[in-house]
Amino acid sequence: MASLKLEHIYKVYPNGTKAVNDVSLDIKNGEFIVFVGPSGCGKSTTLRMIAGLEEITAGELYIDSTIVNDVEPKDRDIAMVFQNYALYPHMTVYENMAFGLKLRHVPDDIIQEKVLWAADILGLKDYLDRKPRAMSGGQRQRVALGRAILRDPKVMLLDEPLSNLDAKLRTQMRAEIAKLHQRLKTTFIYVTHDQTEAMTLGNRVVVMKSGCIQQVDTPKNLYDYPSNIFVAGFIGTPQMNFLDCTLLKKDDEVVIHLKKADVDFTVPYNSLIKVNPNYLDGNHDIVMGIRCENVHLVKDEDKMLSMTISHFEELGSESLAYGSIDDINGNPIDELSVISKVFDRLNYQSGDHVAIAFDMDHTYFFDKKTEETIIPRIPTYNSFDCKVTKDSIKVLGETIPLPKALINKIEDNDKVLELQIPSDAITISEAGVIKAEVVRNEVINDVNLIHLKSDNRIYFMKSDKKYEEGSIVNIDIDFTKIKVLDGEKVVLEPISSLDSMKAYFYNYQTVISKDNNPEFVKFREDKVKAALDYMDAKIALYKQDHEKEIADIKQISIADAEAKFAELCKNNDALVEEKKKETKEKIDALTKKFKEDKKQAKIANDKLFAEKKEQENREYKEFKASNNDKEALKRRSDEYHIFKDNFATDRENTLNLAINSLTMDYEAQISSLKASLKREIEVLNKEKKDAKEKLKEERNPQAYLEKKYKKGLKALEQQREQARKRAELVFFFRFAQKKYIMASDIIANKLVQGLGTRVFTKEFRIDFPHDAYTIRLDNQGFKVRVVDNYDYGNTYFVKVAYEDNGEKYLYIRNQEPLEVNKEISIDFDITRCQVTETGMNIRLY
Amino acid sequence: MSNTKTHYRSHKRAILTRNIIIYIFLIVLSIVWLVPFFFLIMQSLSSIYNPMVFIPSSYTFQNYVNLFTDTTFPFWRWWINTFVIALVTTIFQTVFVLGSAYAFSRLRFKLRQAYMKLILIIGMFPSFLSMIVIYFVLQLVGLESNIYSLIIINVAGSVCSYYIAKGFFDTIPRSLDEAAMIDGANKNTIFFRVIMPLSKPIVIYTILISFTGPWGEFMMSSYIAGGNALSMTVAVGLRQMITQNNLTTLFPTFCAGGVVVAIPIMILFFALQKYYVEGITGGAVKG
Repeated sequence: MASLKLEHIYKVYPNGTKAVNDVSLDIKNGEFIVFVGPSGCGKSTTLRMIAGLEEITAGELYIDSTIVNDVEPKDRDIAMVFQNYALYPHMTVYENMAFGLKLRHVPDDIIQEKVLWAADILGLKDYLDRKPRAMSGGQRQRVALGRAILRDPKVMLLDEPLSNLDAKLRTQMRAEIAKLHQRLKTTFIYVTHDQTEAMTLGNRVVVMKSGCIQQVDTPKNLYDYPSNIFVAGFIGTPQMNFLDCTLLKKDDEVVIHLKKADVDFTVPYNSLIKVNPNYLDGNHDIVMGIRCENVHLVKDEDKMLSMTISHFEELGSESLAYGSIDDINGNPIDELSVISKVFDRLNYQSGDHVAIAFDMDHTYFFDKKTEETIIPRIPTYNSFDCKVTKDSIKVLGETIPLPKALINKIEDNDKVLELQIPSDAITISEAGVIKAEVVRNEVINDVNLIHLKSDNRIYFMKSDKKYEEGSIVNIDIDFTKIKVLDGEKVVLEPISSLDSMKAYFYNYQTVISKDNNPEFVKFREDKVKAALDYMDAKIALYKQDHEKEIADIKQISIADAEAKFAELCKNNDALVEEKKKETKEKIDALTKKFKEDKKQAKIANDKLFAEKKEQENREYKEFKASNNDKEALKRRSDEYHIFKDNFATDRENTLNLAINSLTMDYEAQISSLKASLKREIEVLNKEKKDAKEKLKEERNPQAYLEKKYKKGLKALEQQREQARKRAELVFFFRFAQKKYIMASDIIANKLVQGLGTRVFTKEFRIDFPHDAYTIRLDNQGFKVRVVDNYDYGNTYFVKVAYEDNGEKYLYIRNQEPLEVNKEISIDFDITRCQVTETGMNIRLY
Repeated sequence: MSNTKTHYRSHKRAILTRNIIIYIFLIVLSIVWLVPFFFLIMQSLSSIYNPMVFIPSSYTFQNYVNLFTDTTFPFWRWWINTFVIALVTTIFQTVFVLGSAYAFSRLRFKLRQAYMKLILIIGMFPSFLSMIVIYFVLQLVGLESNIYSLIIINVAGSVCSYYIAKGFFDTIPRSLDEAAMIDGANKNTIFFRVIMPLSKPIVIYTILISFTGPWGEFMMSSYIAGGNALSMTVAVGLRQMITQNNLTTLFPTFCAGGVVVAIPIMILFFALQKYYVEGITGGAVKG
């Protein structure tokens, strides 16, 4: 059992195709994750990268918080089930399942126990000594599952395990896999292209398309809150209906205009409250999605639109009505086809014009260009109408003074402007001016989304805390994040949340040769010393333990132990002989019986065919005597000759068939007997061997311990050497002004891990948040010049400039303003940055 | 109406005629093929030299006895030479061919395609093109006129015939390798414990091919032997035996030699024929 973490995983082939593109995913311990998507979407590649069968181009893969990018598949402690089963054809089922454990030198008795356990779970006990060839597809897949579960892996990977099975078996095996997961509680990762499998099996489902994750969520949420057109269309049968439209907000109502049919219908704004307000202007091309069960055929008074039914599809309990939306004149428009689920099929006929209504609570809207949903579950920002003077803003019926930084940014005017406030820029605090009522407290994936209402307007706020529904609160606005628009024109823009800088990656030796900074040298020496000290302490402890062990040796009687060993040997040998004899007897009996059976089969067959021949002869004679029609006679004579010609071969074939089935049974029984004998003998011999080893230890415990100690010490010394080498590795980023900044171990690891030696030739973009800077007083840091100060009330943003192929700017968040044009020196908190490789645009940290 | 229908017996007659024609053709062909062998065996049993007749007037096994007892030519030595060369070559060639074929089939390394094409092209040149150069190289290292040099030459060029084995390995699904990898096998374990047991036909095919090659090879052997009777192979030795001056006396013995040489190959082929066919066609049809 283990948790998995995929961080910005890429798979780029040498020809430049990105098979997997920036996949990040957290998989919890014991979860059943399903990757689903059309073929070629990268789901199998992702799975194979987790298995270690495919190299990871960039990014990190963690199993239980250790990076396993460069770990061999066998050391990742995973198990995989392949689409074509991948059973070893020359091994029996038992050997197939035991192969992995045998390679790991697990003792035979444990292997046997485990194989029997797995066979028991999967109902394979009677087939253990068969070869895969002699089994059906379902049984083979069960063997493959057995092979996987019996190693008790941390993660089970299943690559389309059911797609080679027929429909009925597939359903059955699906249920079995689900049961298996419940029983083992291991982390399962399952790849399929079948959405039914995905929806029924997964705790969470990852929908992928052309190498990118489209959405990760529970099956229910995928169905209820698809994040884009692809997911909406992929999940659910029949496919969701998609209609091109535009939305236009008019006071408390929204007019939905279907372009192709040129018809409108109106719905209340409250049912579209979460729709991104930008899209309610009647200009954006929008795709409306609605599932067939939410399209209702209604009476005329509830009518939203009218539709012409083209045909029906019967599903038994209900029917699907296929049709197209009518335009104003009542002509169906082919592009606007709609499927509706109807329960009273008999009331309608093909060709009928019927009134339809949509269930607006289950309607989805997508941007036609980006294909993304415009109803986010957590809206990123709220849009308000506002009036701005040069030092205040009027919104939600309240006038709020602007902070100093924003004063005079906007000219005095009477226009109604649009104010965008991100949902995380609204806070509830006593200092707030605006009063609001908490309408609803929605919990979405650990985040509280508070629905607030003031001035008859609902808006949203993200929060860590829950607020009681119905309570009245004061809200405050974070002015650093707001945006003001005049139509399309941006009047006021927030400072972007990150500053970008260009940097290169350097190793220690290069940096020291260019900039022999004593700080760097000292840092590295300290690091090495700390690592060595730690290892030395560990070695000292190990030595102590060993001395204690030596002192604790107890003398036991060797004679006793030897006698015991001799007895064990004798017993086991006797047992082996007995077992051999037993098996031989059984085999002899079987062989005798088999020979007898064969003889009987031959006699019975001969008798049967003699009867047949006699009957045919008699019938033919009778026919000849009683019939005069020449044609009929000729036909009958043909039949007779065919019978005569084929008689001998028929007889032989029938006999062979009978004998073959006898032989198969016989051989299966024999091989099963032999195999079980072999296993039993192996177990007995192993016992002897183990006892011998133990005896050796008991004869001279001191030497044994000494040997063990030396081995351990050597390993520890190797570890120490490795630790030293690791500690000696120090890497740097070079920024503008030839400024070298030490990269933290985590960042350096990730970069080297992701890019290998190419890391030194690439250019990186490093993004810092505004509070990742500290101002240094000793002038040793990165030199910048203060350009401007922005006052946001309780905090200041200081704009500073530096030279890097032209003037570039940074914004420092500071408690106080700084003197303009002053040169200051700053330091970066490198652990808080984001690192992106600019060539392939791969985010590395 | 009735004559348009094909009745069973007329249909049967047609099949019978067709079979008769086919069989006559095959019989004629097999006679054409078998006549030389028959001639060889008959000559080897004849007591006097008379190549004009098929059935000799009197039979004797003396030729076979002469072959092994006559002191003017060391037939035993030639036979042993050839056998040693063929055996050692077989062992090395089998290992090399299977190893390289597996590597080309399973591992993805830089220049893999280039190597494969290069080997294929080198294999297309007739081996005698390099004969003179090889001789001088062997002379440089002092290995001319002995059988070790033949072993070295044969083994050195053995990888050229990797292609059929690679085709066979390609038909074994890669997922078997991958499953074994996840089960904890390294490349060696995969090769010996998963792939090899499944590749019996191709192993046997490779053994047969690598054995028959040096067994019947003439040109290089005669060149390397350079007249030294002790380092000749059977092919070279027998040819040497019937030079102009003793053609009449030794021809029956020569024929006996031919029969003796054919025996090991025949035994090998009869025993392993089943696998041989599977080996050749194994790459063609997915099993």
